[in-house]
Amino acid sequence: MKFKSFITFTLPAFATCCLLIFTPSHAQEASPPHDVHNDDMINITAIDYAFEAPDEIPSGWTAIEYTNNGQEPHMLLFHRLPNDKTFEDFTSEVYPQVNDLWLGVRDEGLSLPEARQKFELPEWFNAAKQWRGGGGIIAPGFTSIITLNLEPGTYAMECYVKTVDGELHAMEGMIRELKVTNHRSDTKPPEANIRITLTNNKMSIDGDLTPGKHTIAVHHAEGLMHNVNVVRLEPESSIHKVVDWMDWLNISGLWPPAPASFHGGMHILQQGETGYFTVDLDPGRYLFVSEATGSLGVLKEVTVK
Amino acid sequence: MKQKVFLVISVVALLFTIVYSTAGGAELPFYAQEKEIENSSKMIKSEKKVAGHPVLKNISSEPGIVEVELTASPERLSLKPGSESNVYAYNGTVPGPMLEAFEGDSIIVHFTNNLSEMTTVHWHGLHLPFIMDGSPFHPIAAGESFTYRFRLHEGTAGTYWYHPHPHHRTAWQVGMGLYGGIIVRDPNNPLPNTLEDKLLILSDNRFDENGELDFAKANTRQKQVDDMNGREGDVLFVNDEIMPELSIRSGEVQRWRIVNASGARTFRLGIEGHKFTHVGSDGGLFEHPEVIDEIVLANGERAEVLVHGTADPGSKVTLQALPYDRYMAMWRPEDWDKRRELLKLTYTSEPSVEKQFVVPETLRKIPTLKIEDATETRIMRMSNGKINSKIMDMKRIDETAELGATEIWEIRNLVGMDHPFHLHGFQFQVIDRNNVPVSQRKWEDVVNVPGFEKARFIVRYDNYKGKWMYHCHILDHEDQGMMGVLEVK
Repeated sequence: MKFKSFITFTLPAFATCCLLIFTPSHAQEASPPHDVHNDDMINITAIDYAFEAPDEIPSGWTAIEYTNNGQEPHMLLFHRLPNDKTFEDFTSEVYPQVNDLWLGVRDEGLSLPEARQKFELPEWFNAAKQWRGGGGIIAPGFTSIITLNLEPGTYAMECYVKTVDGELHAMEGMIRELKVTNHRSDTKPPEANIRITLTNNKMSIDGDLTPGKHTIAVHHAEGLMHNVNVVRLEPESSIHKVVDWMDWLNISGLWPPAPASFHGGMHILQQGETGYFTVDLDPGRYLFVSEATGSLGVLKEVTVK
Repeated sequence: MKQKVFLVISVVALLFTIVYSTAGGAELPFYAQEKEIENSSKMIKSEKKVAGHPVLKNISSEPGIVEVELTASPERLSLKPGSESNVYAYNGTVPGPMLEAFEGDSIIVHFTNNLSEMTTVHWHGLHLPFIMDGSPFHPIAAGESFTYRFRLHEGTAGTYWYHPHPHHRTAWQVGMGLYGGIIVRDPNNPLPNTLEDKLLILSDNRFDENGELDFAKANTRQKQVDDMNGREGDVLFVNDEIMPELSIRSGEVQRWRIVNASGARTFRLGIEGHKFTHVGSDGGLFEHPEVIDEIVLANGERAEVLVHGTADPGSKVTLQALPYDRYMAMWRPEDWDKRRELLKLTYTSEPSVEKQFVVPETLRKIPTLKIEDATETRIMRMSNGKINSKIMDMKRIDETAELGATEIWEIRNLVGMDHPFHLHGFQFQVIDRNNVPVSQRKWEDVVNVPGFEKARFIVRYDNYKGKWMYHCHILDHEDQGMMGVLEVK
């Protein structure tokens, strides 16, 4: 029952944030001059509240140096858009509804089902849901290398952490288009020394989490929208509070201050896909937790010695 | 004896005024105390009209000196027919009277703040000493006066404007009506003085059901929209009128100087069936005229265009504000794509002018700022409300440069809406947009950067040290702190 209600309410609501848009190829030809990157490594920098990123990248395996140069925590989620939809469709048709949904909860005190009933998302969005990974929540000053296998198409990248005023970062400008071309990169997936497997009620971690830098492979093996966020736990940290804070539709969810320090991770992948991220660990207690499904048990507390 | 005493007092007073103004004596506490001020009725008003505007009266009889009096005060005026509104006004009018002078003139402005809050007068686009810039560093408290003194440099003939610039209060004060035009004339005008000269100050405003100016209340959806887009009004003004009428004779050419004094609205201007000859930008005439169908003016920008009366005698056409999408899709107003009428242009019934004016191919020579002379490239990353992830802090210096240095600024707009970037004190030349070189050198002080685009300009810090503001000229953004400080040492 708990699992069912999660799917009915939390997941679809979460999905409102995880939007997809896809653009026909002629739209790409009509665009103004772009910053095109063909390097093995691209840079995406988060600031308050925007992404600095290339406009266009090759398809295939792509390594992204993802840095938070802002003063607030940020995330990076890629949505691949349906073929007949544009970034403009995503921002004009879907995101105002996502925001209204959140404002319904925040300002009108609506329950999640009430909010979902009042603010309907476009059918095409509900049907699509093609999130393609990205960076987990990362604190200011941190960098993580994310490696993803991106197919050609139009993507939207967004951050839906909230400002201190409770506004979604995306609504403040942290939403941007990325075109992935037919040209394929030569980048290979990195060698991972840690493997995480995500299923509907479990997070498995294989490998030794020792102090230092690790390359972690994340495999989305089953069903729901799982991701991985690496959270440094202090003695006073409460795992329950961290999990609650990560639910964006909780009134205090993703709303600063964060209850702990976030060190990055891997955002939602399609079932069956694998993505990679790096993390530098000091000795101490950490929580590896999925944002939407942590409450269902998709989390793991580890101690780095 | 009485005369002697009077003379001594006058000299002491004059010396005090000079020392006070030149030594920065007008620097007052950042947040001035608010107090109610009685409206002054002793303003000097001029009946003289130039380019369609009342002009600040020159009270000096000395050649080369333009000495005027300017007062900001609360007034009750009728901005739109049928209602009166509480406004702020310069010398009792909205817009304020025009300042007119020639290159080389010394300007003396005796300014009095009769508002109940602090203000400044920023001489937008003019190259002048830091202390005279009217930036947030030099607020003038309620009830206080300050004398602005500066000289108009050679080569700066053009169209400028003045407006308040108090920190966090600029959008409010401009929205309340404080803005006015400036024309700096060239004694050797490359365009004939016989061309009809018009100054069109474009603005917009919003009114409530009682005819009062409407500003969004805190914690409302409208406030959020205004914070994001900047406050736009649905009533458009050309100077002090809604949909005024100008006349032109068939075959005639008129010189229009256009100022976008709106807090946020970008004007995309066109006249059906007409082309413009674009002859000048923020800092005066181009080297070469450009024939265009329409012109886009972001906040703070100016343009000089020649309007060719190509229609038949007796025709009527309108200057329109065409749709311009400067918004993030999530915040785009529903009526953004509505065409709006600004001004009626009526052709006289006289027969066409027989001798057509031919626009010169070269208007003037603009000095080249060489890229190879640039000693620094500064990158400005603009997000909504911040530049380089920082909110304006009056106590912080964000950038430091040497007097006389030539530098390149790269303005990167990282979000999906336009941001017009303004640098105080120094005119610059845009080099390229999105890596594509611009068509010709122009002097500018505002460069509009559309969403996710970038532009580079080159600038030389001549003559004046000081702390110069740079900011988004959407006034609500500026007030939110989308602003920084360049210190030229």
